[in-house]
Amino acid sequence: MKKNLWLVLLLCLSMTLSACGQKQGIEPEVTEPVTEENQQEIQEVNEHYPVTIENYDGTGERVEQVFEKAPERIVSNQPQAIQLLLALGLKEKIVGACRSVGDVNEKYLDEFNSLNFISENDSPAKEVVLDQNPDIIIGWGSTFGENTLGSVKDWNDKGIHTYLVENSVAGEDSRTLDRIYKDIENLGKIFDVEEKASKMIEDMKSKQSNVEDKVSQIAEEDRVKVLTVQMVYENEFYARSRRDLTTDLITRAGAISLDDEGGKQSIENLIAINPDVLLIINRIDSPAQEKIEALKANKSLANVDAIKDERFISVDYVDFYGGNYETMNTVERLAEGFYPDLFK
Amino acid sequence: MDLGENDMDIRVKDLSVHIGKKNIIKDINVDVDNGEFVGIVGPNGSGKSTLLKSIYRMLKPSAGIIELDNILIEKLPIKETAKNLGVMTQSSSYSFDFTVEEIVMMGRTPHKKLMEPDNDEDYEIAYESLNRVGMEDFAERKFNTLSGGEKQRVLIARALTGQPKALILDEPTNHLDIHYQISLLEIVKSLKIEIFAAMHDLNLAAYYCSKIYVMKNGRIVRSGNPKEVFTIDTLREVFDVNAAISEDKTGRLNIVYTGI
Amino acid sequence: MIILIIMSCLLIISVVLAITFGPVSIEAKEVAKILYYKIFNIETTEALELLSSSRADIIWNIRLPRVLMAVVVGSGLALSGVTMQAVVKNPLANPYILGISSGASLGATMGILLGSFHWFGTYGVSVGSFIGALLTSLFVFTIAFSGTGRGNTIKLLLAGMAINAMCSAFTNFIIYIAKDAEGIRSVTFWTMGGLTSASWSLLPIPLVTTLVITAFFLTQFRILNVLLLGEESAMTLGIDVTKMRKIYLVLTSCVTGVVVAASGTIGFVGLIVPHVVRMLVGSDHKRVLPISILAGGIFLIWCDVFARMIIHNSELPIGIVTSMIGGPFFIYLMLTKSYGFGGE
Repeated sequence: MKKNLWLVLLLCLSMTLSACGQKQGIEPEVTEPVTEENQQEIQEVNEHYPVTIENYDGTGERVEQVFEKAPERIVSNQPQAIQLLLALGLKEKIVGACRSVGDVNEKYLDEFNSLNFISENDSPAKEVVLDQNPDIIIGWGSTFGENTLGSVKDWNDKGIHTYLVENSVAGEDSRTLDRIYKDIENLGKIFDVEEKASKMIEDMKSKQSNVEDKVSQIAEEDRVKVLTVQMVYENEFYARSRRDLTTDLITRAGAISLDDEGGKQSIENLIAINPDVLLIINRIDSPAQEKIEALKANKSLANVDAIKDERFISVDYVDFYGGNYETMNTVERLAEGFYPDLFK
Repeated sequence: MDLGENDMDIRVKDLSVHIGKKNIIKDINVDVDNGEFVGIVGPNGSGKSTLLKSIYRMLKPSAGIIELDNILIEKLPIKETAKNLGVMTQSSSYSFDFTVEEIVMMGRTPHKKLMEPDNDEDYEIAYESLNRVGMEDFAERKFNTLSGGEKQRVLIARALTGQPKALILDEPTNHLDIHYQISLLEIVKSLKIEIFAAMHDLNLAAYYCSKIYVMKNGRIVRSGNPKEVFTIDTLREVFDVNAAISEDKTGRLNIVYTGI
Repeated sequence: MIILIIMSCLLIISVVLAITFGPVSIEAKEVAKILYYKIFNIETTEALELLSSSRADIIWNIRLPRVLMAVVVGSGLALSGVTMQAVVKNPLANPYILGISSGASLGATMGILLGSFHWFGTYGVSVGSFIGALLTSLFVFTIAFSGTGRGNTIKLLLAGMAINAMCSAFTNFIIYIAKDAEGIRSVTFWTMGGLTSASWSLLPIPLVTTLVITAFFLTQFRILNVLLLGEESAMTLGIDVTKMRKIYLVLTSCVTGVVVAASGTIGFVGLIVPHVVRMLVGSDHKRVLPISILAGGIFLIWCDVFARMIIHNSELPIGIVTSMIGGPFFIYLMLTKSYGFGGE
């Protein structure tokens, strides 16, 4: 009798296993003997892995990453990606980090600075990366080229996984907050911290709906028109493209983004566009306050609505470039700035 | 264009010229005065061009002196020598398109002050020079499109346009049809100024030059009037040819090459 | 000289016409009035009202200095092209062959990415590029005129190439180690050239320098002609070739240096304008110099109009425009006119 029971259980187990295996298309590795105790464990773990993630390579081509287990040794060349990892509580797994412009939000500065840095810029030497014995490299899309960090294919062939942050992937798609949700979701799956990830996404989504509730009431003609300015000089300024993350932030905050082609241009274009509010990019070496002063002091711009009414709002580099878990807070702040009456 | 009294003596004493470490010419003594047409002959590489280049200041002597009208040439500014010394060298191809008229007008450069434009007199002189060499119909043609001989004649015209008091010619009759060879030599002879010319045609040199210097291996090996200089021995030793030399009734020398 | 008069008129007409173009639409009639009132200091109420409007400000403070800068830069580059081609006796020479453009790029890159020259404030990059331009010229002279003392044109060109290579190497090195994607974008914009920064405060130095040196070269037409005949012929015509070459190179470098400092490296103008002018009026510098200078100004005015009007809400770097227009036009002229490039 007992013998039969074991046989049936074994049968059920193997059926479940093969079913799971078929879903993922890969044979699971089960080497431990099946006991009553670890049966549960094995089922949980096996249900989660292997995990297939849709990601990309440096040129924007789709590449699948299949994870048999949670990676243990992360090398990351992008502070904004690192910030996400820190938010997911994965600090201990980061064995190699890099610095880059803008670095991280103040909130994470201490944690960030305590990491092991393998490079002062986003292109560490391949051998330095290898020296850390990573099993995954998480980073910025444009650096995964032959001459910089190395191609995705090279790393994968060595058995090292790669994950490119969504908003950094090459291609024509705009950068959006939705792609940050995707990052959080993906990283949650990869590291088996889906609970934490879901909570973060929920948090962001609830803030988003708070904002949306308020701003959806605004009539189309009352929506504020916003232009992003990165740098300004006497007769010229640098604008951002409509594909940058700033456009998405502005839109979610209930305003209309006037960002279009971007690039260096005459301030006459600023005058012609005549935005209601100017969004200024803030960086430690290029503070928003200076740019605001310059804009206010420029005689030719005196009649631009945003400058006449002194409607300036700034956004930190980390939030405008690739975005992060905290970026939804920025959207809230932008909405409050655009429509102060709504948020009193 | 009679420059009879406005002529300039050329005197070279003990001249040596090095190019790099190599001694190209040594102990050269030359006198060109009294409106003479003086020729310099010799095989290729004998140093004829080097001598001429030193006189018109392209090369610096390593020893010896050069005088123009008894003034040391080093004491003269380049513009001064250019005013008085006309030079015609081998023609070259220019990377830029100039008309024949423009090229010849450049001959007036040594005589023009900084912002001074070309005036009617300049054009008159230029066209007279063109006339003399038979190139007046070519004035609007692009210099680069001319044949070798035509270019040569234009360059003579340019040299003449400078109204020089002495003329240096480096193998002026290369590329020219025999008609123009003789015509050119007639022209320069009629100028009644000192002419110092490197010649390759010995018969023409004998006829037109009142004095000849013969160069070999960087030295002057013979000098004197053509009759004295052009002997069977000279042709044998210097030029490595056998020749028969005769005189006709007018005293004109005729060198006939009979073999090597 | 009829052509000179026609070209001068064309230049003045171009200046006035070009000012009517811009993203803010201003009627041509108003443009004319603004210019008239301002230049002749008319003080009627109508005049004062118009002059205090933002439209007058745009015309007078943004567009006019920009168009004037186009004239200065275009003329300066054309002048440098003519003189450089005469000095090195090569119709394919352009103002940048002696390493000036790469030296200027190095200076500008240092200013943008390393913050060198920051004590010059907003003019730091311009100053940096000017210093770079002059230093490289100095190096090239020293190398080319050393040794035999009689610097020949081959030596000049080779020295220029060597310095070009060195400066480019340094520039690329700085770009590589910089952490700054946005700074690199700025460097790229600078290299492609642009008149967006033009203002009344930026105008005096390039204007005065170009004017003075132009006036000088206009007196040198004879010597420039003779230089083209080659060293030997030039000497027989009384020109101290080495001395004149040195003087001309120094002055040309000054003009190119200030022009590049104001507008980045705008290519093609210095090569093409003298060529086209020669095709039309021959090689005599008495004509080539003044006509090239006027033609260069007119050409660049219209390239700039195109550059700032072609893209809505942005601008095309002017170097792209000069190449796009200059290239095919030059090929067309080459095919239809008999033009000697040296030898039959």
